[in-house]
Amino acid sequence: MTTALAAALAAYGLPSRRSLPDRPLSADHWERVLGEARDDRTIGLLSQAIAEGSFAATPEQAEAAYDVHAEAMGLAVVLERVMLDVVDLLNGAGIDHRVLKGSAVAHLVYPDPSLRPFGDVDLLVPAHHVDRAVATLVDAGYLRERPQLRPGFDRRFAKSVSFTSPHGLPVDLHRTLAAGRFGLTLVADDLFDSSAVLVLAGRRLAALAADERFLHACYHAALGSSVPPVLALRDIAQMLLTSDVDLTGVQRRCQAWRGQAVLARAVVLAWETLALADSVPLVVWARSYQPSASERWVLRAHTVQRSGGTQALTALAAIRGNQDKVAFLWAMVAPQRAFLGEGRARYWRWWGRGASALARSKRG
Amino acid sequence: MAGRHRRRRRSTLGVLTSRHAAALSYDAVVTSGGASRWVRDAGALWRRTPNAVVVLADGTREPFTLTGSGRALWEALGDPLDEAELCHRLAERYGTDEVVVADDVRRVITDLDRRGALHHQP
Repeated sequence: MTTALAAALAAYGLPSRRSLPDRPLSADHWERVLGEARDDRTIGLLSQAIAEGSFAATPEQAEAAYDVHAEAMGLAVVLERVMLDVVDLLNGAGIDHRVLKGSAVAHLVYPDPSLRPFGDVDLLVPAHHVDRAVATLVDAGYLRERPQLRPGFDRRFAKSVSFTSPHGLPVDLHRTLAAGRFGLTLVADDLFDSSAVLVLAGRRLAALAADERFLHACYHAALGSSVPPVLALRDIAQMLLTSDVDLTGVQRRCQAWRGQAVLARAVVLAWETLALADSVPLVVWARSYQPSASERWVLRAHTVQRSGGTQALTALAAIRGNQDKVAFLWAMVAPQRAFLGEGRARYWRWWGRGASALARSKRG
Repeated sequence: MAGRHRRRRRSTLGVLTSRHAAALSYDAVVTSGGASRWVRDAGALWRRTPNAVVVLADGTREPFTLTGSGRALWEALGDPLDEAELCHRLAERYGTDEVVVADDVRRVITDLDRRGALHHQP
């Protein structure tokens, strides 16, 4: 659950009705808040709020917050170095790509990237290049976390493939922006129509263009977990209130992707959680949006049930062509041995989880 | 461990004694005659916090932290400056004499150069 103080921190600097402490917190409370800011990745905002005198803290508390912030920034620059390595590999293989999430949002959306920590490297590659991109990283010593469900699954249906870099850091190669139905109705090729320039270490990288970056933040916040990460909600508000998001373009794109329910949920969550005072036309639209029964079912699969099996069920309807539907179902029913690992018990567990998901979905 | 970084000893102007300042002013005068300029290496990745700057030099995997006058120096090094100009900037910022800051400037520049975080313009 997001606490009021965690939400207030995430809203720092925006026109929010939430307030920060005007006297230093007790030692116990402070430790909880500091831990939460570290985990929520709002430590940059906490540091800034303390430094600007908006969050009352003792000198020791301020020093502790600055130390945690410096630690998060150390991780951010190391991750950016890994990202440059991956970009070099993809360029070397002639594979187009876009920088997603953390680093791109930190540099292109926030007034200072130090306000926006992140914990992994995310890059998008075109679906038809996914297999080659995966092979390129594996050849370079990146360890794939788990084999694909069946050969061809990554490039046809997967949201992303996760790796650990040779230096032990997480790298995600994305094929699309979300799992399940919303990830499949989204036209991933649209994401390569344009780009924004991200200058990093003197180099020019291609990131998602502003509208698509905003939509990605919405997909992440609305579908990524049962409790939306407060930083993802902050990203949405930050983009809507301070950057050049073309609302007409966003809504047009979202309609084509059949993702209006995602957009509406994300925007409402951001405005309500952060208690933002300023309204914008998109917020008015989001509050009035009525998701269909089908959209509600898919949203529940992502936010309440949170099972891969249920999300897979929702995906089936979005897969075009009987051949692809069969391939998808076959991958779900009979994953390759390498995916499940050794032992017959793993098959039973896999099917058991699928059956439970199906039962829950019927009840829901 | 990835993401961890060593904290460097604080480099604050307040710890300088007059003896240090006097001894090191000679070096500063000699260096300023050379007028070679320093600027942040474009390949360095860095972030700021309210009391520090975290830097990862090009080709390295271990970030380091600059505090106090080291942080101020890093901020100033966005423009190419020689040591005399850097001393002037820092002295102005801290409201002190250029001779007093010369030690810190020399030490931090040497350290940043050794770490590969600076670009040297003859």
